[in-house]
Amino acid sequence: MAELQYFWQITVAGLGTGLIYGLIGIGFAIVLNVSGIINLAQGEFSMLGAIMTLYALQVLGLPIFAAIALAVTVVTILGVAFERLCISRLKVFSIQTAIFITLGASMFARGGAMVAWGKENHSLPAFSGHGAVSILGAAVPLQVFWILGIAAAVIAALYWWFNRTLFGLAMRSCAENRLGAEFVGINVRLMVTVSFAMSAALGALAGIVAAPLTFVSFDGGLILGIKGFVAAILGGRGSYLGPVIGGLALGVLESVSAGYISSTYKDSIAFAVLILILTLRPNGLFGRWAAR
Amino acid sequence: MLRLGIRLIFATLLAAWASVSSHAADPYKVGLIAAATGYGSFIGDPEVKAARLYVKLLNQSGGINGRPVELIVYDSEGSPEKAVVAMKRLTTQDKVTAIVGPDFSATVRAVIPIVDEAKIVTYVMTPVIKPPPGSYMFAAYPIQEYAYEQQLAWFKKRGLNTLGVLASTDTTGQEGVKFLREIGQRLGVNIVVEQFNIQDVDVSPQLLNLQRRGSEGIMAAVSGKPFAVVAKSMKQLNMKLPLLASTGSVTNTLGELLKGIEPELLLLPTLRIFVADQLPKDDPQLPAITKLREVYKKEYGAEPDLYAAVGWDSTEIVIKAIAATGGNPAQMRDYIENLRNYVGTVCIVNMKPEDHHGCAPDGYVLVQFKDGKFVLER
Repeated sequence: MAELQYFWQITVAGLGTGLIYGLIGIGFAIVLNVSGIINLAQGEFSMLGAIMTLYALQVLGLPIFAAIALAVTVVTILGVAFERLCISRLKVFSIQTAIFITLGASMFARGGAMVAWGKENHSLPAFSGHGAVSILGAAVPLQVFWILGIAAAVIAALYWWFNRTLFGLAMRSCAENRLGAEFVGINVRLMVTVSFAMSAALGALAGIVAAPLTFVSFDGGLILGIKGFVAAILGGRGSYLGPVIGGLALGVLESVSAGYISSTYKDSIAFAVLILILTLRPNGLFGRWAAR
Repeated sequence: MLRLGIRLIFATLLAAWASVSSHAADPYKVGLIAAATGYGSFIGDPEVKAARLYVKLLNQSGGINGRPVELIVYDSEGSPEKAVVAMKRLTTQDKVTAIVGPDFSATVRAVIPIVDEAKIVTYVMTPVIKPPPGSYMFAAYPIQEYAYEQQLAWFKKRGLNTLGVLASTDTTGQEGVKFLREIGQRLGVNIVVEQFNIQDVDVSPQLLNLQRRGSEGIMAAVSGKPFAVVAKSMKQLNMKLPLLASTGSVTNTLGELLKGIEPELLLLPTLRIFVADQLPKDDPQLPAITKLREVYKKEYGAEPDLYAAVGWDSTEIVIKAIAATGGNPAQMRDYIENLRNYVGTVCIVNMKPEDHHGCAPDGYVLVQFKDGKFVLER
């Protein structure tokens, strides 16, 4: 019984962490699905969102939800500005070049945040306290429910957007066939800009809601970005539930490896399984369209 | 008449200049290398301030037997390359009598060969590196292992037997585990170990595993964000074991970092100066610490922290050595190696040929972090 309890608690801990990875993974998926670009600055959107919320809370003295709204708005503007100033300006668009630009942007954002806010680590208060509730004997932090709720709302909103609105369908068509979309009169550049705006907003939101669990520092976006990217790839392109499930899978894998096999090799084990999965299922667990 | 006047003025000026310049050739030169700016400035800046203040007060009261001391300061920015360049300049161009610093372990490691070659007394400011026996290098601070030793002794005294250690997968973590195992064996504390990556955002599985293996307390030998991650994970699991931290966690921002996730009992090792107000009246180091606090506050308007204390003691010991020997390098080395019962602001120094740190384990005191305050553990 104690063994079962242990397994359950380990799994629950992994699910909690995995949910954070998944939420960040969705941001990756939006830009990837619309433009084919892997936005390596995605983790930095999360970091900036969290740091700006903290700034708005402590320096401007705003209440928490106003601070979050402000931070998400500012990061969204930054995301659009980044896309307009850097990606859109490419003389000849190429996905590889765009990816390198996002890599540069991520380093720029990290350096800028370090200069502006320093190297200290900060903590954002949990939205409803740092307590935990017990589910079948396993402690679950209250903040996890916030993350869960926001993830569910985001997935529902994205489903509606990409399946029920003309704008969303137009964005999807860019991903299916960029040239074809241009021929039928879709403004592909606008769609790419909108995808960056959405993923910046979502990245910021993910960073903010995860911050009470992950802490806030200028380099905090790096590891979250990597894990979120893995979640997106594991989940497969084309779906928005995919990254969440991919994230949960990664979180549980890490947690179970640490709890049962070896905490030293936890990351190696998790990534070895990732390689295995992608070898057997190159499109990820829920990949839809690369199979064509 | 006017010409004569001008000549007279010139002559006086010339004489004054000559006396100043002959005076300027006189001072003992002491080098100082510290990470005064950059990411380590919170360590290097107070060290430099304390050393400058010591030399200033010394010169005001007549210097060393009438000869002033000139402090030549180089900023390493925490970089080994810069420390090496500074060390070479001090030994070959500035031709200093002795050197204080560097401070960061990487910078200290980098200059060891230069100290060997130049044979100049170098008083480094790190608890991590043991200077090679017989060398010209000495070190301030009680060595790092002593902090663990004090904590494990506290643990044992409370009747606890198994300590769960969360170690980072980097070298610092692995070296820490090695020391903890040795000390644990000596004091009869069973050590169980789990690893974690300092980038991890959750260590619940490791904590659960440690608890399953019988841990009655958790030691997290990391500081900053990784330490907060450990505290957060314990809070989430509702784990009420005592949490033991390393010296690096003792900062004034700890309260902010741990807001809402304070452990039930948090025990940290630190130096006496950090809890100067709480020291017992008969503490032998109290007079030295009080004196430093007085002069430092007067000069800079702030309390000296433990890095200021380290800078202060290191400078004082080097100056004492120069005063006793007239600056002969080999004699200075022997003088410091035979230093006994020097009561400093950091610790009571008793050097030995095989121990160039000189502090005893009780150089560390233990404090509990309670309601945002550090409380001396008696």
